[in-house]
Amino acid sequence: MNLDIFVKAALITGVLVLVSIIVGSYIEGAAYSKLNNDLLKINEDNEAVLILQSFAGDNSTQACNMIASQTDAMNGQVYNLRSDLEAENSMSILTDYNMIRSEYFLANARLLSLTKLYDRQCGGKDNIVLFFYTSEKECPDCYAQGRILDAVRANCSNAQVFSFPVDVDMSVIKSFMAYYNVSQSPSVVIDTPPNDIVFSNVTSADDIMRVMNCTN
Amino acid sequence: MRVGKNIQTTSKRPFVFLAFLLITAGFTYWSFNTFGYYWTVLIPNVLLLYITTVLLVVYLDGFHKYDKPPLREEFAPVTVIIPSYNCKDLIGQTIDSLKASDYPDDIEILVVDDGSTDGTRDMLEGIKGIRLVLKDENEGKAEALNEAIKIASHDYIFCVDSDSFVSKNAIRDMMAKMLSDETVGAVTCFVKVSNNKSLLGKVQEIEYFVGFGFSAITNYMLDAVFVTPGPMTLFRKEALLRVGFFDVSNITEDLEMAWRLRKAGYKITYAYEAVVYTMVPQTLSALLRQRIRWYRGKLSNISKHRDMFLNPKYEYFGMFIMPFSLASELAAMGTIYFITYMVGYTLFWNVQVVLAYIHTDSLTLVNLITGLFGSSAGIFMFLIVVIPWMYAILVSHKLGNKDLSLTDIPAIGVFLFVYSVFLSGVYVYSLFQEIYGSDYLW
Repeated sequence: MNLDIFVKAALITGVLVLVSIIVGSYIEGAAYSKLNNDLLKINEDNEAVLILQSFAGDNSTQACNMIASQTDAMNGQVYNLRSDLEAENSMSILTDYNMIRSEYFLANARLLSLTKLYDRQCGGKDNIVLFFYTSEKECPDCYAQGRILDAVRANCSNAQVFSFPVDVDMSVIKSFMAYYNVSQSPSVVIDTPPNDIVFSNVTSADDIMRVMNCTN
Repeated sequence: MRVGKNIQTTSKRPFVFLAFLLITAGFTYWSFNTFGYYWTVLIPNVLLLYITTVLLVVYLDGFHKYDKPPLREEFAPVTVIIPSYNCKDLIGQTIDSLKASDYPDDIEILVVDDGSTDGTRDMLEGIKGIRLVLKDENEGKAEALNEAIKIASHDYIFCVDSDSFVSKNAIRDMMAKMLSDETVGAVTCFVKVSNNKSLLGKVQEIEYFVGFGFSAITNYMLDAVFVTPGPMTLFRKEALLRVGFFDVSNITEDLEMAWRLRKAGYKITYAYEAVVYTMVPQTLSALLRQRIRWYRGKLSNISKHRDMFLNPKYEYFGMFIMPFSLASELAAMGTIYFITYMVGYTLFWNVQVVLAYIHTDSLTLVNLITGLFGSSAGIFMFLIVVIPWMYAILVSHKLGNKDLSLTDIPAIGVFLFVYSVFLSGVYVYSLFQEIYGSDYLW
């Protein structure tokens, strides 16, 4: 038997597999790079809001209007980025998304804090909604709840939804869960201090909007 | 459906089957959860890629060494055996194609009617220039062939199916190869599809082109021809007598004969210039029945001739072709488990999502449209396997003197991405039947 053919075939197969991995990495890398750029932009915008808040220092109408338009636009970007990030993370086979996910959720938490701060300083009329879901394990209810919150955002222009996975080991998320007394997923919190409302099962858009002051 | 009375039946093994199912499903589940489904399926895919690449290397290295049928003046008389059973619509054309052959020596056409009930016998009795053996009872193809071999007048025997049509040069080219080497026990040819008008026919045509073109010539180059195909094969009568005729209890007697000839030390050679056209199933149920018989036949013959498996004495046949054949079955099993898992998972997931929507009165069409599972990178990594297969398809069509055109692209797409999955399913179903011990059907 001529063993050369098996060696040659192994080399060709190796090259083909290597090429497929390189091209596969390139495809995933392009998606990763886009998400990373979006995240950088969000972090920049977060910094900008922080600067504006420090700059204004009081509740002057002009400063509050600037901050309001900035946070409104950011909330939409951050919310959409989460869907893209989670979709790419679940489909990825060659790229590790843990780092970028952590950065994203930190940015999301920062935006939540800024929004709350803005509401306090400027008397904002935002409906702050927190959505806690499971990302690592299968959770069809979380998926369904996410789509329901899409509908809430579409029907309620002043709804600001912030999503956090309960199964990511981040102290800030654990702190939010403890603060809002959330222990399971999916959970939806309507941040209406001093009495926040917590839904601990899949909840319809109507039920959520009923307890919010929606403006269309 | 033709069930020879000699076809063996096996005892049922429900517990063995259940244990096999549980072990393989458990292993697959463990593998999916440990390595992820992409890597679990990608590894057998890489194995298949390697096997295909070995064949490509063999072809590219060795095609120039292919011996064309030598030109010769002297030939020898041959007997053509046609076993027939309820085939009055086609056998006339089969006989006509033989009579139209350009073979310069005598051709004895010996038809064995195996108890036909559709008027084939009356039709055959009206045909001149053939030798006819009429059997009252249907005993199966192998038995019919054996009876004919015993009474054949000549030393070289063609076995031809009653729904196959022989090209003009086939007998001459195959005999030229047979007569050039005394150690040759059988000569195979290029089997093409005759009824290729439907999509199923076209897809099978591509399959036959690859099987009897690229695969057959590479097996020949490795001196490892796997099967002596039923539509037409030339045998040396002495070899058939020495190995003890066709196995009447075997459901793929053509495959089994090839392996026994090899064991007995005979070479099996191949002439791609010789073409026989055969009829292929035109319905999925008929195709399914045919393939279950083929795949179960292969499995039972691997078991029967397991002493050849990984045996260096049989060189490439034992060390590569047989294990490759089994590896294909295992890869098919991986594919089917993967698909079952994904379909099951998607259904389970979607049903729960829909229930959640119903529960919250949020069921809308938009919500029902869920994203398709998949990764662009992952899909690409599977697609890489298609490259050597496309090359194999091109080579096979070149060997078969058929130009590919743009209109062939849909059938090639179906062959690569749909038909291959269908065949994987049939492989697995056949394996399950074999392990369970279901009765054999023709």
